[in-house]
This record gives sequence, structure tokens and C-alpha cells, in this order.
Amino acid sequence: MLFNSLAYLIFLPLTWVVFWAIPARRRLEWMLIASYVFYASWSIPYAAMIFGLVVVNYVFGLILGRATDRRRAFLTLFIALDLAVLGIFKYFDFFVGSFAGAANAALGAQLDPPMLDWVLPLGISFFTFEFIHYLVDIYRGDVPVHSFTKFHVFTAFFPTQIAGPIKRFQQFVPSLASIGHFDIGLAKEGLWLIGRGLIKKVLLGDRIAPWVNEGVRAATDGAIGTTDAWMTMLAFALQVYFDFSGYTDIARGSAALFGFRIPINFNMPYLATSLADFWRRWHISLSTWLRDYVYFALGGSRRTTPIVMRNLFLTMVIAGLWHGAAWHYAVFGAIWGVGLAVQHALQKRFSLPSSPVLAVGGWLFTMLFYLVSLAFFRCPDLDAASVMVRAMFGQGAGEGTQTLRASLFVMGTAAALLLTWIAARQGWWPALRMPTWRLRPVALGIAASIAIVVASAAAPQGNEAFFYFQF
Amino acid sequence: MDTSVGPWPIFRTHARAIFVTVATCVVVLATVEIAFFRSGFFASHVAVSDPQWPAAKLAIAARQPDTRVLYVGDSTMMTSVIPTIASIACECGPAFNGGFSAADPWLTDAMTRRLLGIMQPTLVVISVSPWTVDSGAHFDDSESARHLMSVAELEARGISLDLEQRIDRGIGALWSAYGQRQLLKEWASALTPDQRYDERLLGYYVAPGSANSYARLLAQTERLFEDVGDASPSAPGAMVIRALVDDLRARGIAVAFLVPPLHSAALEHAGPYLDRADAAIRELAGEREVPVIDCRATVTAADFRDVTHLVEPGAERHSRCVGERIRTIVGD
Repeated sequence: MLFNSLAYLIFLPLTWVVFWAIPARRRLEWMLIASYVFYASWSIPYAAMIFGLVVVNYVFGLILGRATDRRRAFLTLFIALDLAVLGIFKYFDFFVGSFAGAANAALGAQLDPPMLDWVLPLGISFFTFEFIHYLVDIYRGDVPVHSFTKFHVFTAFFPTQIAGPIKRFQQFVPSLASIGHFDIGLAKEGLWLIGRGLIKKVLLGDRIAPWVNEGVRAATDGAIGTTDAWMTMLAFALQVYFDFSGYTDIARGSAALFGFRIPINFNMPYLATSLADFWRRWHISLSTWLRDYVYFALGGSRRTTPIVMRNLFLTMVIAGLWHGAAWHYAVFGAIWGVGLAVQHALQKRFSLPSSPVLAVGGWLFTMLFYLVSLAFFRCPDLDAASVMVRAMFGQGAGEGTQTLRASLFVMGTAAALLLTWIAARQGWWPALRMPTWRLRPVALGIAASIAIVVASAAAPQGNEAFFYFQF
Repeated sequence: MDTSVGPWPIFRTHARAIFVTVATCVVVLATVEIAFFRSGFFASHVAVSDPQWPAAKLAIAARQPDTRVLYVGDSTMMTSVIPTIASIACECGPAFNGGFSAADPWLTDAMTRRLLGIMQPTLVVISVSPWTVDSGAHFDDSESARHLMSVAELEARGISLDLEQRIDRGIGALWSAYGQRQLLKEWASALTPDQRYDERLLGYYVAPGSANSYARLLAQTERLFEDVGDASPSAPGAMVIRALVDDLRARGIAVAFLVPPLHSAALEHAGPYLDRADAAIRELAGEREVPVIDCRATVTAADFRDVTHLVEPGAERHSRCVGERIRTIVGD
């Protein structure tokens, strides 16, 4: 069930009405039922598997909380089990195939190992990361969640189960205590977020997607012009932002309707003035997770510069591979790892004063770096990515296949997005509030009907899946 | 912060205001539906920016009721026949190009029937590509199919709609802003400066840019022929075209087949298959005594934007040739 589908348009209000109509003590159970209906609408067997993982990790948490010795061994075992499930579904075929390919190429072998070809369970990467966060934090001293229902809602919560944001149980579980109270302010914010998310996804992201596909297809075919390559990557930068931040808005908005606050995932990422700044603004719940559970586990920044550089590199390679089991994702992560490591080394060696000129220069470099790296993120393999990158650096072939309309739309949208963010950061943007009860009913009715007409016209013809659902 | 046990007390407090709001909303929506959509205002005024899709094509066609020659088929037809040029050459009256992207024989059949509800042509020219007579071709469920076909037609083709899809169609039939959202988006796009489709082109479309570098042609060709079976005049797609021909003739409409031009890269890659397809098309045509228009010799490799689509100069020459052949057919 996609957030931008008719099914969700029916599912969400129904769930909401029942949620607030039943006694408060039953609302968590209802939220669980709704969450499993949501997941099972895609796959019942995988919903059962997710239930099994929740039960197992709940027990793991209790064991870790009570254990007084061999805690590290328990933690390692539990995390290994969680990663094994993720690894089998997501990485088994990739690593076995890569190993066989390498062996065949290097040794002239004829290895053709059997592949699992299993469908990747939706949201498995996000579930796994929340489980690991929970177990590690209990190991570090947090108290485990003793209520199975509360732990269950934390992990299976339908607004965030498919593509995050990756929640922290220390923030989420205490908010369950206020489940008996309806917060009109939060509900209004939720509606606003859902509307904004749909606009980002349907009106902007989905509209740009065909132009990206056209450019990527050209690169996959082996030839794309230089201008087209840049335009394609710029279009993809917009598409992936609108798609994923739109999804996050709808997830946060849906959660808010039920009284839950979900962390933000984006903070004007394309205004970042350095590579490190970018990851503080982009997919924040993932980057902070990687910082807390990978980068810090490797030693973080309290080591010598070469070790810190190694830590940054490894963290980003893992980040790349988290997105998908393919070498182009690993290269994407490695590029960022090298970039962040070099930036760290330079910052250690040179102390630059902050100035507007340096900020603009840093922004320009960060955006160019990002656009080039996106070739490895979006293209289906390394060959296509290398065609795209070579084209971006002047080795393009073929005339433009991106229409003037597409180019104008992409550049105009990029400019509008940046201006909107700059205005918001400078405080020029007036705070938008939903004036519902202050408007006269007739005016509100007219406004609502206009909104319905616009929403109807803007609705997607089919249901375009969110880009991050594949991860 | 306003907190309470649930939203219901808020609703009760504002019950009157909510009623007036909902009533106003319903009245405005009903007015929009009746005055804008059901009155025919939208259909007669809608402009499009991209005529590649069935909805856009039908919207343009609605303003061409005087069409005498109708061209139908896939994007090869859409980009290779300029109706105005063909009409001058054949001296056979106004024409319309109803070809659209990714049309297979089933969609071509459905589109033709929809267009016949708008116009009364005396001749229908059907583009019959090698894929039409491919034994592996089958009907695919798609947005275009759902747009062009009724539920009964879809079910006859083996596609059953699930509950969500049926509700979706029901809402679309009841509320036109939703049912015709694709056209509304097209209209919005057409309002952008220089983006309105010039309806004087009568359905012909110029594919933008060029994608004819060797690497791209090779990749496109491999994609085009990777799943083909064998060519046969009794292939499933050919049967659909055969039935369409019979139906058109039963309505008193003459029929001709057009063999679309393909880049020489396709011939190099799949020459034997294309030869068999050519023979199958001619056998199909011979069986129903349908004249075949073959103007492939009028274009060269330089006239192609990619493997299957012509650039404008190539389309002009091709259209002229098509018109001249039609004049012969009509004369006969």
C-alpha cells in the first residue's frame, strides 16, 4: 500500500477514526492491527516474518537488559543474527555472484552458483537498523522496553515501517504514554505535512522521473551528451529529494494524526556548504544512525587522522552498500568516503576563517561533488555510471534528448527550491499556518473544494513507488 | 495546546460550521463537474502539450470530426506520417494521425474504435510493424489499456480489476477532475509558453533531439529484438488486426496497411527475422486483400532520430510517398 495510492487514502482515515473512537487502552493494539494490515497488503508471509523478527528482538532486548556478564558476546550474537536475515535477503546473491564472477575472471573457473532470487522484504533495512539501535543502546545502559506491545508498535509502526525515518526508541516509546490525548495542533501539522509530501512526490518528483529515466537509459545504452548528463543528474537530485522527503513528510504527517512525533529526515540539504554538512542535512536518521552505530563503533574521530579517515571511508562504504547490493552503490559510498576523509584531513591541517565567499565556494563544490556521485547512485551499473560521469566531464556523445521543457522545468524547480530554502533560513518566509477554524465556513468550503480539485487533477495516473522503497 | 480525549468534542462544538463547510464544498464541486466537465466546455477547450498519449490524442481528435483518412498504430506511425503533407499528395481530404507511444495491436484496435466514435473516415491506414505479427506478442495491462478500454473489454482480454482499481474507475466516472486528471495535467503543461502542441500537425509528433549514435542504436536494437518469437500471419496480434480490418470493412471503411520504416541498424541486427515479418505482413494483407503501403525506400539512415522514429525531413518525404500511394489506392 503506497502513501500515494487510493488504498492509503481510504486506509488512513478509517484507521484514524477507529483509533480515536475506541478506548485509549486499546489504541496501541489497534495501531498494531493497522500496521500489519498495511504491511500484509503487500505480502502476508513477509508480514509474518517481520512479526517473528519483532518477537526475537524483544526477547534479545530483555536478555541483554538482564545479563550481567558476557553482554558483549550476547550483543554480537544478536546483531549477527539480525544482520544474517538482512544479509540473506539483500546481499547473498550479490556476494556469491561477485565471488563467482571474480573467480571465473581470475582463475578461468566456470562457477555458476545457484542464486536465491528472493524478493527483498519491504523495509527490511529499516527494521534491521532499528533493531540494532535498540540492542546496542540497551547494551550501552538503556533500560529495555518491557511492554511487548509498546516495543511492537515502535518497530512495526505503519507510517515509518517501509522507509523510515529510522526512529529511536528513547524518543518514541515515551510518546506512547500520551496516546489518550488528541492534540489538534499536531493533527493540523500532520495534515499540512501530508499535503506537502504529496505535492513533493506527485507534482514534482514523479513529474521529473521520466526525464531522469530517459537520461539514464541513454547512459546505459552507452552514449549521452554532456549537457544531457548534467541535466539528468540535476533532475535526479531533485527527484530523489522530492520523492524521499515527500515520503518522509507523509510518514511524519500520518504519525502526527495519531499523536506521534517522528524525527525529521531532511534539513535543506542542497544548501550544504561542505561534504560533512551535506550528511548532517540529508537522510538525517540514517546518517546519525551510521554515526552512532558504525562510525563511533570504529573509534569515531578520537583517533589519529589516518584512522579517522579510514573510519569515515568505511562508514560511507557501508552507507553505500546499505542502499543496495550492487557495486555501483559501494562506489557511491566510497566516493563520499574519500571526499569526507580528505575534507577531514584538510580541516585538521588548515584552519580557514568562515566567510561568505568560502561558503559559496564550499556550496558549489559540494553540489558538484554530489551531482557527480549521483551517477553511481542512480545508474544501474558501473558501466552506465562511467558513461554518465565521462559525459559530465566533456566526453559526451550524441545530441540532446532532454527537451527544452524538461530542462527549463528542472532548472526552474532547482532555482525555486534553493530560493525557498534561502528565504526560509533568512526568516523572510512567513510562517504558514492552517487557518481552518478562523476562516468562515463558506470560505473554508470553497478553499476545500479548490484543494480537492487540485488534488484530483494532480493525483498520479498509476501509483509510482517511492524511490527509497527499494532499499 | 488544545488536548482532549479525542477529536470528537471539537467536531461537536463546531458541528454547524462543519455542516456549512461540507455543504459549500459539495455545491462547488457539483458546479465544477456540471458547468466545466459535463457541459462539454472542457472537452472543447482543452489543449495538450504532448500528443504521445491516448488521452491527449483523443482530445485533439475530438476537434477533427471531418477527418477522411485516419492513420493508426504505434509511435512509428505517429512520427513518420505528417497528415497535412500526405493529404496534399493523395488529394483525399483531411487526415488525422492517431498513432501513439507503445501502442500494440490491441491498443491500436481500441484506439481506432474510440476514434471512430469521433470521426467518420473513408480510409483507415493501419501501421503493421514486425512486432504485430510476432508469435510472442501478447496483450499487456497498461495505463493506456485502462484508458482506452472499458472494464468489459479489459476482462475480455483476461485482465480483471481488483477492488481498488474498480473504486478508482468509479470515482473517475463520477468526478471528472479525477477521471480526466491526465488531460488536466496536459492542459496545465500546455499553458507554459511555447509548450502548447500545434494542433495543425493533426496528431503528428516530432520526437525531440537525436539518439542515433552507434552505441545507442545498438542498445536500442538489442532491446527491440531481445524477446521476439517468430513472425506469423496467425500471431495473436495479427488476429486482432485481422478482426479490426473485418470490422472496418463491415462499416464501409477502406483499409490499408503501412509498413513502418526502421533504421538500417535493425536490419543488420535482425535481418532474417524482419524478412520473415515482412513476408507475414504481406501474407496477412493478401489474405484480406488489404493494400500495403511501403515507403521505406524513401528514407535513409540519416533520417532517423533513433532506430524506429524519423526526424522531420525524413517524415516529410515518407508522408509524401504515403500520400501518393493512397492516391493510387483511392483511385483504384
